[in-house]
Amino acid sequence: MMLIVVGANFRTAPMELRETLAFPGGKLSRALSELSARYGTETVILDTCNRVEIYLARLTGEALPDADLLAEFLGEFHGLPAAKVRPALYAHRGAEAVQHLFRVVSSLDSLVLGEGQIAGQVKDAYEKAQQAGTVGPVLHALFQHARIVGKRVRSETGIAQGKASVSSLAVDYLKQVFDHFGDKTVLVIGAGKMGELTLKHLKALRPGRILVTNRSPDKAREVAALCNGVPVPFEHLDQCLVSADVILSTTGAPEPIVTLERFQRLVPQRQGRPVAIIDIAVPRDFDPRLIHLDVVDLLINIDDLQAIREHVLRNRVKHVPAVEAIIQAEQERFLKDWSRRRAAPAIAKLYEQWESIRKEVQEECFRKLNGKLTAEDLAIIEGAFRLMQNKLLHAPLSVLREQGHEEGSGLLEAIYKLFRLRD
Amino acid sequence: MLERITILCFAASYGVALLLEAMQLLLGRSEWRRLAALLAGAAGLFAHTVYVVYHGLPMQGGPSSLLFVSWVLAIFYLVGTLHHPRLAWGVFVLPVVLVLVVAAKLIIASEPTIPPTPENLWFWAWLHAVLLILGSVGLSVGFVASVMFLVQAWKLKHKTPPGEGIQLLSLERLEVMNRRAITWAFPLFTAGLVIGLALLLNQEDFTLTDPKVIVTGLFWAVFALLLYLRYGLHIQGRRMALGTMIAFGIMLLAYVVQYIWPSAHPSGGGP
Repeated sequence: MMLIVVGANFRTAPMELRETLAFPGGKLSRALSELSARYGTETVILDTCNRVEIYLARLTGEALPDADLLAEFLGEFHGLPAAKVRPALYAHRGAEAVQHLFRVVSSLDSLVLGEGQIAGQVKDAYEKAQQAGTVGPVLHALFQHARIVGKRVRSETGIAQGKASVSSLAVDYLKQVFDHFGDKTVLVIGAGKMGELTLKHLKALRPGRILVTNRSPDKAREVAALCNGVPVPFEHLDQCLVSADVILSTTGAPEPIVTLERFQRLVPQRQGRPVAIIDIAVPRDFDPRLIHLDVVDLLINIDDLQAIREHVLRNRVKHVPAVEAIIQAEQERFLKDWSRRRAAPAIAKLYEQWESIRKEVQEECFRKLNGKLTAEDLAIIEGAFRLMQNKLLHAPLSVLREQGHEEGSGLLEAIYKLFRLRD
Repeated sequence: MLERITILCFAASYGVALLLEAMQLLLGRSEWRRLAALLAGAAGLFAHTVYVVYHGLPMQGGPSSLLFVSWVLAIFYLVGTLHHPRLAWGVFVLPVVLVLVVAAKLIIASEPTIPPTPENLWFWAWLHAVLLILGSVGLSVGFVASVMFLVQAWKLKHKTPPGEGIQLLSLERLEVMNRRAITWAFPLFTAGLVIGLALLLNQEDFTLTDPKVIVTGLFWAVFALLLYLRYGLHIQGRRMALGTMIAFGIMLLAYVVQYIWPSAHPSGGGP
């Protein structure tokens, strides 16, 4: 199998370069077609915000283009000097390339260890290449196997355990407080960047009502429009604090906007209804002593969420050896399977050739002995011929099955030549 | 054969199930431990069911009422565990089941002589017992939900990461479970107690200072106060959970009081 992966990721290339090397929209299918046509290869491009990787493969034939040639292609395609691209590229060939893809799909090569998106992105890359008609038997087998590796790693190890994003962690906390959100009111205070993603996650919970308040009415309207919320004047914050079940606060206020005294005054109006507060503002918007109030079931701030995120990531690191072991085993399995698959036509041809020789010799023998042997004698002789054929073939076929995949061994080619299988 | 099934048989099975459930928490989740706990719990429930049917519970006196309540709670454990395999259901329900079973066993050892119920009042005595048992089941469920609520609330107040430690239902769901349980239990209790009071008034040696009557009256007052706090003053959450737990404690006391102090009560179905 001839296989190479050449790419740049967050470790080798800065964000600006990765952005330039990306293949948004129609660029991807154009690049896939151009690469396939130029080098006569199967091609898949994996393009995510943290990496751009080109997988090229061919069953047999000339050597595949190397990183220098692909740097030229990338430079040409994106209008950059190849010299600027080349230092950011890494390359892996053959078994190493297989291992690299398995590491990528297992998220061992991700910015956030154990993140779940990469498996879908790898699948997506494969499907887009398939639509562009640039996938052949090698990359088909490789990417199908990568899918299996990704599933095994996630189901058999704890690499993906826990949430590693601040916004999804916040939502997980909320789900421990409330069972359903259709009858809940979410109050969003402020319009900080940090809050946008969390608000997106909150919106996915389909709350009954979203109230948005901000010192700037324009900003409140802007955020409210994004989440189908209702903008509320900042002066009405107290009423909102009374009616809210979930509060997301992201202002840039220099001091807490909701003090213990202010909230305590409002508690009787809440009639015992509990509230969950996600305060991701820096500095904090809510007095931390609010957690001691009976109605406050949850008060979590950005530091708490970051600390949990780090804790989750530290835990995930413990599962890396188990993931590595799966990758190693799957890499070996893939290469063996591939070797068997690749050697299969040669084995079939060799067997066919020997079978036809055996039949030819056997028939000649039977013809000469015509009438002198019983049916039983003929069966014994035929069995002996078959046994001899199988014993002679056993060693070469076993070696072909086991070692046929080894690059550079030339074993398969030698078998084709020695036995004139191509004739 | 059936008479050889004793309280010890199912108490031991529940004990093993509880031990395995506790190991799930301490040593981490494992599928075989979960299945083993389920099997032990199911074996206990089977033996318990045979015992209940064979002995014609719950109409055989105070201990049998406790055994009947614990039997319903054991069903609640098994159904809950099957329905919520990832939650630490058994750790909360099984101790209550075991406490009730052990209490029943202890009471049986010191059971006073039960005066027979006059034949013309048999139906009312039966209804009195059934209503009190159903109310007890409701309050027991409320108690379990309250303990779970307090643990979950503690976890959230201490910002325990989601997915770590004991896994429980959301606070809202536990609060609803508690609220529904006590809302159903109270009218059943009240009706049962009114019938019981009417039956007691027929007895010649009945006095209002009877310890059973005092504790049961106290229990009813606490329960009524609990409902007033919930619906009248909108008290929710932690305080409601604590109130339910106190009511449950007094209910248990009402069950066992006649075995501690002499009482004129004919050891019927419940408090």
